[in-house]
Amino acid sequence: MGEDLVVMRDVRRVYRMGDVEVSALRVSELSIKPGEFVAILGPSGSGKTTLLNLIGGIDAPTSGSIRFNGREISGLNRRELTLFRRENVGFVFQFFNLIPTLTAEENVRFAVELASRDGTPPKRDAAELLAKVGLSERITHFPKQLSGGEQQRVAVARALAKAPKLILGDEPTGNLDFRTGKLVLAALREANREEGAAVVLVTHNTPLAAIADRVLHIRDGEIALQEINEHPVSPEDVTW
Amino acid sequence: MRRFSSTLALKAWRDTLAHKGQFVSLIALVALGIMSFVTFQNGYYDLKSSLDTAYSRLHFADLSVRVSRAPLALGRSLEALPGVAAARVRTVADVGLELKNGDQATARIVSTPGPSARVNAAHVEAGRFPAPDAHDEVLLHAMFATETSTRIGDTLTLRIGGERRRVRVVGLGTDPEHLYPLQSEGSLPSPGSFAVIYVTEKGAERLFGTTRTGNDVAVIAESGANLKRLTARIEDKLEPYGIVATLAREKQPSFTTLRSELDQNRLMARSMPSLVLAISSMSLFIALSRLVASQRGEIGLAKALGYSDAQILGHYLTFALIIATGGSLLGVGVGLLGARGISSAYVTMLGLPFLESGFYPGVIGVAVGLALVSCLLAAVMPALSSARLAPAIAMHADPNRSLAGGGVPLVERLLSPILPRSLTFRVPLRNIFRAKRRSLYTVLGIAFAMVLSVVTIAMFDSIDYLLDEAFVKVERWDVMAVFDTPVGEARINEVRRLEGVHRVQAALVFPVTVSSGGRTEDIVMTALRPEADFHGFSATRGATPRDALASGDIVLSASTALRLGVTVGARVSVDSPLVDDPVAMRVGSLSEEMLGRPGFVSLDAAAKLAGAPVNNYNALYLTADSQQAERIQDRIYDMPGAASVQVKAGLVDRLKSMLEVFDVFGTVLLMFGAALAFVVVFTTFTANITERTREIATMRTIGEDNLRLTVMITLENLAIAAAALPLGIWLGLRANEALFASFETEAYTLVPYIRPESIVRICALMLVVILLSEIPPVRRIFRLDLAEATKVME
Repeated sequence: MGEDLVVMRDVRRVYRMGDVEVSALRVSELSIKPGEFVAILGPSGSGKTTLLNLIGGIDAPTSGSIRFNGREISGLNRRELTLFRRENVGFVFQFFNLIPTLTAEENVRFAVELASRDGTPPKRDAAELLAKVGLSERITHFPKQLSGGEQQRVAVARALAKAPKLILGDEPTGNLDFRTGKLVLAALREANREEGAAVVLVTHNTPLAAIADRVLHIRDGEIALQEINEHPVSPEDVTW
Repeated sequence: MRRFSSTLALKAWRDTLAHKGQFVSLIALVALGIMSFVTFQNGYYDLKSSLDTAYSRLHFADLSVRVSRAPLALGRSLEALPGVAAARVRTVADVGLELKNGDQATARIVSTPGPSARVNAAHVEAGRFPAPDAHDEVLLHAMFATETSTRIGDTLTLRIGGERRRVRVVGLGTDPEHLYPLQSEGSLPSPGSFAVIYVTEKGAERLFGTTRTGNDVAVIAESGANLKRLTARIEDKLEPYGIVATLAREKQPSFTTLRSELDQNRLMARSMPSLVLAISSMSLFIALSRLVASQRGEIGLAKALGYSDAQILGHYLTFALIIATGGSLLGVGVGLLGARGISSAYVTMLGLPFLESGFYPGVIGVAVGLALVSCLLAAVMPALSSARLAPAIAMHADPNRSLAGGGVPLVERLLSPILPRSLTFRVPLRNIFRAKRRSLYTVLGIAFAMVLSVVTIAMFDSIDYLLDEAFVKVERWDVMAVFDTPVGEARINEVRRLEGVHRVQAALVFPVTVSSGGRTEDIVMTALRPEADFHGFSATRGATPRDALASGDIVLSASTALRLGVTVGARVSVDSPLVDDPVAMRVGSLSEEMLGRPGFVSLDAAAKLAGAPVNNYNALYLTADSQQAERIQDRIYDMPGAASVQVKAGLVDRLKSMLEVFDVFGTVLLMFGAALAFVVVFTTFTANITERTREIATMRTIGEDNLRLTVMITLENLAIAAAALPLGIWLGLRANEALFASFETEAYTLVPYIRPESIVRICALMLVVILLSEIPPVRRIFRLDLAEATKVME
């Protein structure tokens, strides 16, 4: 188990809505290995985003333990969680969430600056990262001047800027058409393969799971099924 | 289709609750405007009503004629004249007054039958009116008693013709001629050095050695009488008794001062609320536009479900209605309380005997109407634009609202060589230019919010400037003595020999009427030697005043010239009560005069105007040791004919102390300004930050810390402040100039002035307000649910 990147044990996430308690997630045991590509599938409201948020440190469990690279993160305070996310996690959101006032290059550089704020020299170059996702011609463009697929690829480059150990994608193709969705998946897969970053991808689109090494099926807040995909396919070959 | 939708009404209510912070601040914003309107308007009507009541109940004379001497019985025969309702002959004379602590003052002795008088009745506020047979009893003006801590039972010493006469205060009161006691037209208010003392006719006879005679006739005209003709008839009748001067009510010093105060109050009652309402309407417009913009998706949904444009329009106008109702209720309630306080303070300050506190439905109606109109006007544009949105467009979110045109702002490009490369500095700059209109509104909002504070502070600074300039640079004397008899060389030498006196300069001071082109102005003329320097001139046009005096020309104050419509070189007619025919004179120079509306001529010219020899003086200006000034004042009062002796230091102190009253008003206005600024900035910044919730949440999610985010927001706000503060100062100073330009007062001319340190203080205060109003929205960011906020479609 020492080699696991993320280990969750007896994790529960309960939301209190007035007098009512809603159990959003119960995970008795889950681990994610470095460099692993994990897809989380499930219907709306099943708890897959809750699971992603807990892994990424933007939400805290009601009970249980979450360890990241051997370090317990479930009890970290807000400031410690910020540092944890800054150093370890890259995010790709469904609505891209680029900063509209920054160009593509600056959006990526924003994350580069964050990663090097402790005085360490920047690990990555924003322009190079954009070239990696095929956007070297678009680095001076603002988000408004980019297509949805391009914006999401900028978001992938931004997620890679910190050379994170883990990239989390919450429905990253949910707001894209088929062709551009595949481009984004390819960028994520490439980051996973070339950078060695673990990728956890939340989707309700079952065919996408074919590119993952492992697939978690979530139903009613619990992991109902885990599948190992012995032969993950290339994003180019996925259809939906 | 049914117009009213209970679901939309419920939504409006729920939206209100969901945005309660913003709604409360908008309600507060409207309430501030309404509050200032009700406070100042009600205050004005209360003051006007109190003043009218005082004049009516105390039978204020329409006319008074100063004569050499006339029998008291003449009053009855005057009443027989057509158009005369009542007339009374009385004694009015200025004498020296020694207080129980030895302080010196000027006292005006006025004989009156007391509260029962049919003309200019005395009003007893405390104690009683002197008994008819008690010759040493007097009623003292209440304002003077308060200023000098004189109480009923105290003894005062009058100095009449070089003799001391002791009188006992048995009551405190006032009369319509001296509600606000002023010695003469254009003189400065000095409630601690000018007393009005009311005595019975018998008391006056004992003090002045007269027998059933007086020197002043007060007349009330019958309703509808032609005052001009009546005045002529009365003057004809009084001709044998030696008419010195005729004074209509409109020229009476106390009356004109109070009228001017009332006019200024009316001006304030109009200008201040207009300013506050304009600011609140603009902020309301910005805030409601933002609110509607943030609900595009909901609007699209409602329209897709079948709600009509009118229903959508009505829904968003409901917000305006909620704000207007809340603002009106709060504003009217607090405004009425404020009006009571203001009316009471004003009536006390101006010495009015009655406080008429009324409820004016018209004011409330207009206030509520103003609130409704300003809220509906502010809401109608965003509401219309929301109703016009096509459902599909409204529901289609644009998550990438960016720079207009998608470029780097010009400012950033220009500053690029010196701007740090870090995005911490560039993001705030781009946010400003990202939505130019929003930034412009924010700049204007802050600037307008500052105006009230700048106007108030500038008013205080201008008053200080007036005191410093007028009493240090212009009035270059330490003690001034006015005699009611001519002063010869012997008297001047006697004064010169007094211990502590360095220098004595003599002058002749007398009232004149200056006319030109059908316009007339009553001013106080000072005749002096061209080399005299007790008065410092500040020439604005023409020859130097000294040269003009040497040439035999008249020197007018710039404000008098403006009112007469004359300039240098013009010929004016100068009419003195001391000679029969007016004298034509050339205007040789104009001088900026801050105190009163004086005019100046040489002693040679005065000889023609006053019908007296060249070396005829009635005023002495002394430079003296400051420690000896009061002793010198005391010694001069011992001299025959000394009517008024002023020590400049004491006069300045009394004026400053009197002006402290305005500190209260100023503080209230400043609090208004600060509250307004806070609400405006809070509302605008909250909207600014709320619109960027997802963006800020994303930054936090990818690892940006709260401190750096706060720095970015603060930098953005400070950059906006950097544009807003100079604009606010500029607008405030222009508003101050406009306010001063509309001030009409005989006693002083306020010059718009603000100290550099006051500007720094206002800017510092605004920065504090800006930083404080940033706290609530920033705290909101820190508490964001990141998981939820990053998924929001903006």
